[in-house]
Amino acid sequence: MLAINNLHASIQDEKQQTKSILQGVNLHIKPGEVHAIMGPNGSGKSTLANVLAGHPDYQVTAGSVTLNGEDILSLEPEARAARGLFLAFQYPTDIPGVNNMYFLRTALNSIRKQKNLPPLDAADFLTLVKTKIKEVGLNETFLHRAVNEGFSGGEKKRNEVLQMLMLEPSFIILDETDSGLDIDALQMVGRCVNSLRNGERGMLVVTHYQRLLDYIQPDVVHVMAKGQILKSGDKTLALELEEKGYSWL
Amino acid sequence: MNWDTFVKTSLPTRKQERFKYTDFTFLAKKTFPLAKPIDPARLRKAIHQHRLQRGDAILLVLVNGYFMRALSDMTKLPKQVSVCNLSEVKTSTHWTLPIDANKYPFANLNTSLCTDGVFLQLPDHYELEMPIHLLSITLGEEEFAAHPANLFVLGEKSKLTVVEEYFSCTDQAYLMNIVTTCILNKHADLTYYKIQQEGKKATHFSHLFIQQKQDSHVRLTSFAFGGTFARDEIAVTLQETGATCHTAAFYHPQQDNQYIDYHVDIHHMAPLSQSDMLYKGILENKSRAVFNGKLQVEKDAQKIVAHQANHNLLLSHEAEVYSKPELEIYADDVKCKHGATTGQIDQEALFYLRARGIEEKTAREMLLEGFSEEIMQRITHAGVKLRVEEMVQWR
Repeated sequence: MLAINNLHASIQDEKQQTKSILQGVNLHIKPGEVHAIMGPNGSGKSTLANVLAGHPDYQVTAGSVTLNGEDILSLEPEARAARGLFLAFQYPTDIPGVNNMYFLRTALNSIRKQKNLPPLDAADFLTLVKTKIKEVGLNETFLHRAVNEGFSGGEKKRNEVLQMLMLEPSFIILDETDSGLDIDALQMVGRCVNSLRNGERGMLVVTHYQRLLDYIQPDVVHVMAKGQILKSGDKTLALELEEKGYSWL
Repeated sequence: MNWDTFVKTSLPTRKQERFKYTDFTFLAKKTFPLAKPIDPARLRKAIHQHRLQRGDAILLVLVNGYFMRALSDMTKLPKQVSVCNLSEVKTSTHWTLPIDANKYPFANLNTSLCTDGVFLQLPDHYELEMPIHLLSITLGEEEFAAHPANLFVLGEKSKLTVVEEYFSCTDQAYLMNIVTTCILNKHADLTYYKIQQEGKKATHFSHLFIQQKQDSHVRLTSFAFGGTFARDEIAVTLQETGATCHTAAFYHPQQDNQYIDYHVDIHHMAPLSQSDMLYKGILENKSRAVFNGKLQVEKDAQKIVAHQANHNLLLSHEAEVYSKPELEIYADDVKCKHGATTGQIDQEALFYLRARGIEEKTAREMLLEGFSEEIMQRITHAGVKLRVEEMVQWR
């Protein structure tokens, strides 16, 4: 489903110096599989997530990424979203003045349009969003506020999960969605992600801690360091990392 | 004083602090003969098309600075509301405020050359539900200057909504130099909208002088889109205890060399008075904008609350904005804060929207709308909202 081959990516720092971050990442995820990526700070996990979503600050210098056989690196971020790619952000941005419900509806209908589907009418949309917002444990008042503005860290993450449930993407990347969450919120994330698990949908879960993986059981665990995948294994690898840290690798 | 004398003796220069961002030499080359009255029959259709589309309003029309009763909704006016040409009351009026000619040279010029304008008075305890839509239209094939003066007097506990709008049917250069004075007696309440969409070559000077007595309230929301040169002088005097004045504006210069300027002076003379300034602008191409907000708090004006904010978005590297907050506070028990920002479109927010499947063009429009939303949501009249929304168009 998702095939990453020899991916190299860099970013320009404040001094306009090019800094190479991804140094040959190889990763293959089959439909229905959940892969977890763990690794120390600065290993390139979030960069990988952002490069996949098409963040303009990163330059891909070598390698390829295909989603269902199609090259996605040449696609605009919105076209990647329309192909079913979804990134739940580590630090969701506030967007003052843009109403959350209006945003969700524009996003959903924009993706539908790119898939040549008719827009969802206002009444159907409202029914849908009211059901989904209950699942993520947010009050309906959050729909009438500006996107993420004044939301707590946990509320922002719940809002990310709400967007995921609304857009029903075919490939989901969670970038440290567990960071800053209490146990209740963590369980909610686990429940919502698991509700989307099926034989078709692929997932890539970026996390620091094994804790999230108690709720979302991965098929494969990778360890990333210095911009490369160093080691891959089953879920017992996560437990081993929790116990021994990263230095033994 | 005529135009020639004004140019020779009173045209401000950049050496004057209040005019340091402005080069007025372009005006020295102009002659600007005074506008002549126009036959109203020519305008009926244009006026009708320019009524507010939603909600009711009482339309009062000025054409090239002349108040046109024949085009106005005189019959819609309740009998309690007095409306007439300012010239009819001018000699007997005791409302005209003295004008500081050094500070406001163009207002001073208006006093000399004033041709006409609207006088409106609300009696005590009278609330006029329908807004007054004061529509100023310009037309003509030759250059001209209009110097209208309007005066609104609100009796005690009276309530008024004004929509002051400028619209042009000509591409000709002209000078629109307005003085509007609002006098609010005790507990009076004024909601004021100003929408400026002058012609492309117009020079627009607007002076809004507001004087407030005890516990009176003003809510002013101004929009500036048109003209090649536009300057709004807003001067508010909170004379007595408990008076409040909330001012805000959204400006959107789009053309090369277009200039929009807001000079706002709020003067707190009495305790427990409140004010705020919220001015936001989006600048395109090689346009320029100025915000100069001055807050003055007298020694005896204790326990006042005042906020000042100016935020700008530059959509082009060639656009320029000058933001100058000034605080002059002589009282010691006051809550004042001010802030100013100027930046580009938030790239992280843009990526966030695009990553959710929203096309770049739509995403940019959403962010620009979001930026202006804080000002737009102050509009409570559906017709005014629609009118402003029509003018805010992103490319």
